[in-house]
Amino acid sequence: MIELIHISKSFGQHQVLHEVTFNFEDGKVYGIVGENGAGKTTLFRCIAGLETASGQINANLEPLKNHLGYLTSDPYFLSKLTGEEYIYLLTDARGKSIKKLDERNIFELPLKEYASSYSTGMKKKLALTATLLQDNSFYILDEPFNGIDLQSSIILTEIILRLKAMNKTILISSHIFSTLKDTCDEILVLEEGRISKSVKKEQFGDFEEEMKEKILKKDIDKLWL
Amino acid sequence: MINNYLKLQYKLLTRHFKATGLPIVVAPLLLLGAGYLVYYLLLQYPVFGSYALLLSNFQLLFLMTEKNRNDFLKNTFSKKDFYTIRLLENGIVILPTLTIFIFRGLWLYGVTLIVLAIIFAFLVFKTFGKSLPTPFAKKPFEFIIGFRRSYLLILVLYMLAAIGFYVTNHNLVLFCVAGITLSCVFYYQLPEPVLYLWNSRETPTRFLLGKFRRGILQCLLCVFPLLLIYAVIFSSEWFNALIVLGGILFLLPFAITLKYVAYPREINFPEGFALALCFSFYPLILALLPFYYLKALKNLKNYL
Repeated sequence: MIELIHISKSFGQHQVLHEVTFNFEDGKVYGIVGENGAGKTTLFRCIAGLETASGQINANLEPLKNHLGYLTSDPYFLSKLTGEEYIYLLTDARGKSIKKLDERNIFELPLKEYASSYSTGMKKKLALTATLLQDNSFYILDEPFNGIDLQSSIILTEIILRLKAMNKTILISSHIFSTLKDTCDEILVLEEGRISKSVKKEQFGDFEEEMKEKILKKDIDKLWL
Repeated sequence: MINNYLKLQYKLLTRHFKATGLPIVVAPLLLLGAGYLVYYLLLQYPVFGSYALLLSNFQLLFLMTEKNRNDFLKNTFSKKDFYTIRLLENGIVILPTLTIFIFRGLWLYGVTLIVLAIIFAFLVFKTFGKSLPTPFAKKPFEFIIGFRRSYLLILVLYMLAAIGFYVTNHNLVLFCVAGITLSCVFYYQLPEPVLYLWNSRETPTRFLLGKFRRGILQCLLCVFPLLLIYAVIFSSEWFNALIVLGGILFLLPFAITLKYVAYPREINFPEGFALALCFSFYPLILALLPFYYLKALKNLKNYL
């Protein structure tokens, strides 16, 4: 369980998060959607403790950061470090000893090659593999489906469902609604740093229609089509 | 085109310098000061000082052969311009040392340096297979990356040490051991991304002590074979080997501590100055280490 109580965050004069309050329950998958700049990544960074924020963040496992796997939207890799070494670095940091890594390389990554030379999708898969092998209780996956191929996307969906079955709490941000529909129990809409709406699984269909109508009306009408 | 490229490089260098917080007008003064120090070092230690200068230039020239950087230059410029740029770059890199060698009348070293600069302009070091295997297994990353960036220097130092054993010059062997240790110290210049540190579940104290332990072990792995042969061949001089070992035990933790004092930025003038002071008067480490250790712990609390 992760409980957010009145989380606010500003960068100078610009307030990015406004009194965000929510309770993420164990064994559930939460989707966070919102336009670019709505505050999704800032919210994730605040939960991870990478940004200081006002308000309170409570978790049933403390300190939260030691039980949290965080996949950033744009993972960074140091040069001259192979994929295998990156995985060992991250799992070792959590005191996990990984055996038979080759067998656990489900995305079939070239682990002996330098990670910095990987394609965008491969980098994401490598970071995801390392985060999963840390065996955390909570996961924050920021745009996990971006840049990865169809096969990997299917694998990732299955992984998220299995993590859920293992009673893990997962927060995902994605701009691909179908992936959220397949994996999430609840979707939170973040607008200008506020949770403007919370949508339960049974309402996903209506929500998708509502979003389509709203967005299309707002934007497409401006084109000549 | 070449002119623009060099201007851009100059801009980048000045930006790096300005990022230290010092005004750019100080740069020539610092360069002159460093030049004088090196000149003084050469007066004190003419042979090993010259070796050290030559080898540090060797390492700089080697770093400039990095494949991705050279691929970028090759893609951007014509073949002729590419080699002109590489020769100019290498020329600029060796210029301060070359000037000092000429001032001191060390012609052979000067010519060697010029030859190295020309050879390295035409070399691009590709990796062995997919990546260069290292003897450092899985941890920590600084040694793996550092070793891959300096393996040629380590190889040269090992070869020099072999010559030292062959001609029974124990000072040359100790110089090589000190050179390898210094290379290991420089591995800790590189700050990792905040997220890497965030992943660690250790307390700052345990994290830092773990880094010390691993750093010392891995540095010893690099120099231990040399020290062991040294203690056997020059058995009457075994005490020197012990002094070098003792040096490693403090120097490496000091470098690691400075890294995390400066973190998340790179080690800069204040920390570099402290390190330089300790090089000139080694026992100073014993006084400075606890002070910087506490500072590093305080800084790490923000990330761990």
